[in-house]
Amino acid sequence: MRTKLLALLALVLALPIALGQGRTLIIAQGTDPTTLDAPLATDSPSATVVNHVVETLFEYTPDGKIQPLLVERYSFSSDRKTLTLYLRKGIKFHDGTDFNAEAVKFNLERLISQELASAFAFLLRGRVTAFEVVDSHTLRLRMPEPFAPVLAHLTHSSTGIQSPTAIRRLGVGYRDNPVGTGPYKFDRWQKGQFVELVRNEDYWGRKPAIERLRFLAVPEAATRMALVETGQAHVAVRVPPQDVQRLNARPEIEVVTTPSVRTIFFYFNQSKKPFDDIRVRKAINHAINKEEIVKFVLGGFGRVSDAPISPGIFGYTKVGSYEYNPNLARQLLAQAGYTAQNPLRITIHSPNGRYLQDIRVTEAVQSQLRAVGVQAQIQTLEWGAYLAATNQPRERNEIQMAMLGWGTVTGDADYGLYGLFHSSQQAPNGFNRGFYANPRLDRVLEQARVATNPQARQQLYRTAMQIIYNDVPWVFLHSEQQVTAIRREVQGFVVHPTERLIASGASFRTSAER
Amino acid sequence: MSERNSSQQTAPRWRRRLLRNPLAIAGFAFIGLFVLVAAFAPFIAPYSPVEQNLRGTYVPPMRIEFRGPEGQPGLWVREVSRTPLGQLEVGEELYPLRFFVRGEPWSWWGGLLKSDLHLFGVDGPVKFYLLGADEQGRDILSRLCYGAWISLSIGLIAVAIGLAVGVPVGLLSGYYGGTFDLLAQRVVEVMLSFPGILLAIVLVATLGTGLTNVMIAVGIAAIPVYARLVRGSVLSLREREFVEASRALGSPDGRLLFRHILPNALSPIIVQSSLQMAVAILFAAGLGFLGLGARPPEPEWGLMLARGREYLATAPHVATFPGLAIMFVALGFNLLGDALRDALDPRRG
Repeated sequence: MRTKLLALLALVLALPIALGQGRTLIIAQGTDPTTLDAPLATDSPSATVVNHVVETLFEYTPDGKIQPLLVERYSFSSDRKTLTLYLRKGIKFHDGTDFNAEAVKFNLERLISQELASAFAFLLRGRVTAFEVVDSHTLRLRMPEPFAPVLAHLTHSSTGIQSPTAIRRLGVGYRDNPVGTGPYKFDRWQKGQFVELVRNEDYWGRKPAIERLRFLAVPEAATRMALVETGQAHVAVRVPPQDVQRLNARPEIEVVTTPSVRTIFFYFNQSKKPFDDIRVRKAINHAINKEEIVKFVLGGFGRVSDAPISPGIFGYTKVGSYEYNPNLARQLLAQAGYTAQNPLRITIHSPNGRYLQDIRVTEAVQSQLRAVGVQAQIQTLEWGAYLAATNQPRERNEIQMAMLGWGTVTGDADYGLYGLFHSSQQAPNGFNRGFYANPRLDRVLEQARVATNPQARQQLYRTAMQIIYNDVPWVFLHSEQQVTAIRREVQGFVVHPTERLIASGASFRTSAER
Repeated sequence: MSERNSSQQTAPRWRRRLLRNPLAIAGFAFIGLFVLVAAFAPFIAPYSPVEQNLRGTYVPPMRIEFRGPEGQPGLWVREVSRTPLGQLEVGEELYPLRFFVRGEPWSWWGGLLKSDLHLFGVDGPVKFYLLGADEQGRDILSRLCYGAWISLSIGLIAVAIGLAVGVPVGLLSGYYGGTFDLLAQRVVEVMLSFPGILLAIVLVATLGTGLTNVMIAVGIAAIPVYARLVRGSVLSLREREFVEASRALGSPDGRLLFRHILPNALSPIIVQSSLQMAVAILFAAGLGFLGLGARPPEPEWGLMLARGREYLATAPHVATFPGLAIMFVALGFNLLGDALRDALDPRRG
């Protein structure tokens, strides 16, 4: 009897170890992907999944370098108006289609096509005008003028090369069933719950050690932490600051802090009252105490923004931050006609679970606004619905002020500024969702795209950011740090500064190694 | 002998029976406290329910010292704040805690009551969190007080809606029968076939979130309960001799319904209303918990509980107190309802 009990006990004790050695790596993200079609995926949780399935021509390494991935080598013509790509040979898409110059041409032309209406079309549209297939594995990109950020843009997940056969065959259904060349193949997607990928046994590069990846959608931070603590997930993103110490104290969990190129902001919808008035926009900026928010809501895991993009990105220079000055805020509001008798009433849209402490930040802002007499109401929506609401065309756009975050994932300011502030990028075409327009800024951003001299570009971006700062299209909040909880049995898991999670090089430690 | 006379004679008896029941007394106590707190929320609450203090986020309930700096007796508190890294810092200096202090001005009952008097407060630049602070550094006690008002109004308005629609429908349906009864009871059956909370969720999803809509939704969810209950009573009452007698004397329907039938159907309605208060408050908290009810930063108990859940591991007090508040108020109404049912039961005593 006793031996039986002991055996049972041993079995129970051994169970967690056996589970830890499972062949599925489980990653708890905050939100479900919105789409798995590379050019349509506009958020990191989607891009993270897509990047395991679909590869890009170039990659942006975690230490900030651009290097070839699906191309073997490349060359620019002497006038820098032609880029020749020599593609890797012998690669096949997961459905057996050959990876070749035609496939690349198909994908890049699809990205900039009007029919697809990708918000990332600006990465190449108008700048790369012709894609010439030289031979089966050589492609020439023709540009009317030199286009400095072209290589950086070809690292972006939206330029990922997907199987033309699958796209033609599946049509709209492709977004639920991506086919690429990557180390993992798409397996299934239980909407709202998880996406599962399975190892590509014929991968051209180094084959991943882990057989399956499962990306869970867990909006609530406390639940994500509970999952990683109980071993039901191996990785959990966005550890809330108050849990960092507690998790770190546990021997089986490591809390990893990675800088992020993501800037968090509230944008103002300038196409309608009350934020068509620059005094109101300035007042809101002065009313918000960003230092306190970073210190006490983010627990210090962030940095107050002093420019629309974060440090470490090419083109960044400090342009300043609107100081916390509630008296000035009140004065500005009074000038704009808002008083205690006639207070400014607004609705703030906020995501919940997408960014670090997002709803807490919005609540803190709401409370600070109340202190200067602004009555703000918070509206939260499920992430997919939220993105859709912010992307409505001007006439139908109900947003007044909304929180978004932008990761300049190409490492080049063009991506962070052109896409967000150029007047051609107003919703629903691009990411200028507040309908901001300044012709002078447009000109500067266009010049910066074609300038070849890095110093000249740097100077142009400084000017551009100065203009943006003065026009106050945003509440400039902070840039995030990524705080990720990873169980110690997992090694080689990469949290990229672009907020992508990379599991391709990860493996499970055996219990002896632990 | 008329039925009304006999009910007047039994009135003291049921009252005695109610007051002798210890559970009824407990129920009264919980409800009394709840109503008192709700009625004088700004006086009992030391601070505003929405004022944030980012340097005092989720501070646990604070300790009171009974000896002052020089050992003098009294109530004293220290400053407790949180460093950016999340550690608690307890100040050295002691500040006296006083009763009936002047503080933030408030106005209540739609401006009828204005004052700046608070039940207690600290004499000094320090905040005293008797029940701790939440993730925005807001005083949980103050939020609970104002939240009591929200819960009480939801309960009263929801029950009022249920009564105002359910009772007439039940009366007419039971008294006249016929096609109206048939139609009304089929609608009631459809509504009853959904669990109440589900019905409320569906209604809130249709009407939109927010406190007003929660009151309406929870009220609508109560309608079929009353309609069914009253119809049952009317069906049995309308065949009774005193009703027959009155009808034989030529009383019109209205008189029969409101002078003879309704008063005798009151006791189940009263019992149900007490239970329904508990249900309404629980539903409202449930909707708040699911994010369908009150919007932040409203100090609604269910919403507070939902928020506090995220801090269970680090700051359990944030969820504990709203949870206890909901529990005791629901328990109070349930105890009272049960005791009323026992006391009003004609088969007893």
